[in-house]
Amino acid sequence: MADVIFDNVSKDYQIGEITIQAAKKVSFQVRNGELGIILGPSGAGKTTVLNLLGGMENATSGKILFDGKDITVMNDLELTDYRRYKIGFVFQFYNLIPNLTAAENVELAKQVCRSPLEPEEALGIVGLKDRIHNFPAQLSGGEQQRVAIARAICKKPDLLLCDEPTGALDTETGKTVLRVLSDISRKWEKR
Amino acid sequence: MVTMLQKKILRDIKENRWAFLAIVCICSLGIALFSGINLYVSTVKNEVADYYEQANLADYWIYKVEVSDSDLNNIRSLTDIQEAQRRKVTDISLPGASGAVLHIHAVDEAAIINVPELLEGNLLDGSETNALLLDSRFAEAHDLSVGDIITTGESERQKEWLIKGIIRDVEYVYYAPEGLTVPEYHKYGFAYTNASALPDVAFNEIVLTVHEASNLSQEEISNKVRKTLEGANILSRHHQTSYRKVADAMTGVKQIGLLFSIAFFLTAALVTWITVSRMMENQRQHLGTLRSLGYSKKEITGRYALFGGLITIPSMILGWVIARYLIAEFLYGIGITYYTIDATGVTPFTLHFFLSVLCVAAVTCGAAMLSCRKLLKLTPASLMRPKPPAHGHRILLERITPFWRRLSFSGKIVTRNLFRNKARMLMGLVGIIGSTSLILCGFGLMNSINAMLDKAFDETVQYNVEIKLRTPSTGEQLSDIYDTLNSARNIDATMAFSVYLYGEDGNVQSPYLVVMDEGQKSLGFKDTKGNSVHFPEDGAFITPRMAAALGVDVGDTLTAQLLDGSIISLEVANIVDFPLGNEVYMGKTAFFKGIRSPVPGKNAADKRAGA
Ligand SMILES: Nc1ncnc2c1ncn2[C@@H]1O[C@H](COP(=O)(O)OP(=O)(O)OP(=O)(O)O)[C@@H](O)[C@H]1O
Ligand SMILES: [Mg+2]
Repeated sequence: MADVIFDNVSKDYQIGEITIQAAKKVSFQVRNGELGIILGPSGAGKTTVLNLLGGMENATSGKILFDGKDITVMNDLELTDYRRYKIGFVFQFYNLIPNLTAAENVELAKQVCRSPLEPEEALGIVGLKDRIHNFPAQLSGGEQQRVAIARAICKKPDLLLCDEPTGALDTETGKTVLRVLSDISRKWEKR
Repeated sequence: MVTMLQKKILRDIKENRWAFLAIVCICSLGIALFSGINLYVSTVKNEVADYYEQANLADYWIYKVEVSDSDLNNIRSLTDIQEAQRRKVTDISLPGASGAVLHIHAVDEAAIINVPELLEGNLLDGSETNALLLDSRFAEAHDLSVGDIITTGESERQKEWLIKGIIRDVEYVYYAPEGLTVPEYHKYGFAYTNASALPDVAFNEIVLTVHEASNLSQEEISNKVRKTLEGANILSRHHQTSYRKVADAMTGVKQIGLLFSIAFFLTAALVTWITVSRMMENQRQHLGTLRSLGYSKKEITGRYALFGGLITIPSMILGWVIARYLIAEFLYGIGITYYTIDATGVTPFTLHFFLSVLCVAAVTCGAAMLSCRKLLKLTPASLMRPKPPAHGHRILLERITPFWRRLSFSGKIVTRNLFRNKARMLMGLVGIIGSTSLILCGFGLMNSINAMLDKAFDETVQYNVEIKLRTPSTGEQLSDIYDTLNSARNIDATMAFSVYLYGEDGNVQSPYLVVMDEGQKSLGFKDTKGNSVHFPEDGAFITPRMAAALGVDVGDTLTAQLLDGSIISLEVANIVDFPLGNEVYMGKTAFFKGIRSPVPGKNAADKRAGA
């Protein structure tokens, strides 16, 4: 049984009289325990698809099933719960809170979860153990990206959505991060 | 434990501390202004009300040439009368250059109404014929104390009095005898003595109190008293000088305070609202992040109410300190130099304080929560994107090419930004207009008072000297007075009565009715359009304020009742723009035409002489 099913999903943005089709009839499936990768050139709609899947944006048409439930028909409270307990999101532009330290940023996510990882542990996984008390402005782009990953994985989410998680990393660190992600997906595989 | 979200918001506040401090200052000033003035007003009002209660202030004062024992008993036996006492009242003057006058009350039993409050020395034991209890303010002004002797009267009628005690009296909380606007303690004082000390003076006053539960109106009681005592004048509290002046002053302060506070509050609210909502808008992307992490709308809005709370709480404390220790204390310091009461100090709290705090809380929390809610209507993904600029990038000015071309690049940006956010521009404008008008209001008030005084004394009041006659005078005495004034260019005889005016729906006003010759030159009347007007054969002039208070207009007929009960009907002949006071003016002919029941001998006649 597939855990994620995208069925003919489209997303249009209306700007004045112009309609921009950011995602056009997208269909795919990802199974439990699988590490799915979406590839495409800039502007292809990768971020759009992840946003739709993460319950961050409403689809214009189509169905998105997670664990058999259609998230396109969920109300705001259900979507909040969905994001809170099921989803971990690593954004393309990290979106860390600038006036919280790395540890505090992770803690912020942790405080709304049921059985999370400790911030130190999550930051340790991404190799940032000794920078936990730095503010985002004191970290390099790649380090910020890793804090964002730590923030996502500390929630121990059912579905980890990473938007270009290695975009700001050098090849070596990028490889490490990808390995970490695939390890996690295998380790936390839900039955 | 502080959650991370709270920590984040606290740090946001710390980063914006100057903006927050500015808002706290504005809000605390708003709270301080409104609650400070009201703190003062209610302190004085309560102290005075307590004093009235405690010293049993009379409800009515009845004046009659001679009050006999049976008169007193008749009054006592009227229904709903709780207590009645008779007194001798007279003025005695102190010889010498000071020209000081003591208003002296003599009683033949211990006072139970208007009970004097002993501050120093002893009360009278009832038998002394040359001892008195002296007004504390008068004693202070003349440097007199218990045991001193004062001499009153001239030549053979001279009398020496021992000051047995120094007192305060509830009838003289604000002692500015007719004609004075502020007390002159050096000149006017009062005293209490035994009735036996004034053998030549008849009992001529009754003070009485009415049962609290009584539901008789002032009019009904007055009528009853008049029926019982033929030819008596009856005065209610509302005509009693001290009572009336205290009440009027408090209402005045309260109204001005309210006006200023409202103007200030509105400006403060606006500034606060704009600043807080802008701070919220800067949180846009953070709200998106919080939503993406799974924080609910309620959790986020609730936490951001902290913005409001952290403005309200310091404003509340600072506002209270300013209100209590600066504004109220300052006003109270001035107030108690005029009001002779037991000054127990400013009360710490009134309801107004909590009301103003509530307003501040509503504005600050409201601004934070409403703009938060507005933002949260967007999807988390769009919150995380920066705010797209408003539609219609071009503004009207850009179409006027010659003008637009001449603007510098930064000029173009500034003008565009100005016009792009119309709501913000409007709010900014209103804020500036509000603050400016507050400043103008202050100067304007000063100017208009000056202008009003100029107008009053240049245009309206033409006379230089006003002579008040305390007692009815014979024709001879009057011509004596006229003789001594022979260098005066113009003299106008006037009569003035305290009257009750009954307006629409039970509204009662208690002004003076001033009656003058039609040919008088002492007062120049102008109607509201600025045209000079003279007394007509029928009807009276009233001020616009009186017209509004009574709900009447030109042509309506009013009923005026004199203190002795006689009725005069007066048509409103015109509404005159009279800058001082709220009195009613009419010509002699119209006055005598209007009399519905016999009028007493002139009970107060004064001369106005122009030199
Ligand atoms: N809010 C929006 N309003 C209008 N158009 C949008 C909006 N968001 C995305 N688009 C458009 O939708 C298309 C897909 O955007 P998306 O961000 O999903 O691309 P992407 O594949 O993530 O690209 P990149 O690799 O550059 O991040 C783009 O053409 C973009 O301009
Ligand atoms: Mg993208």
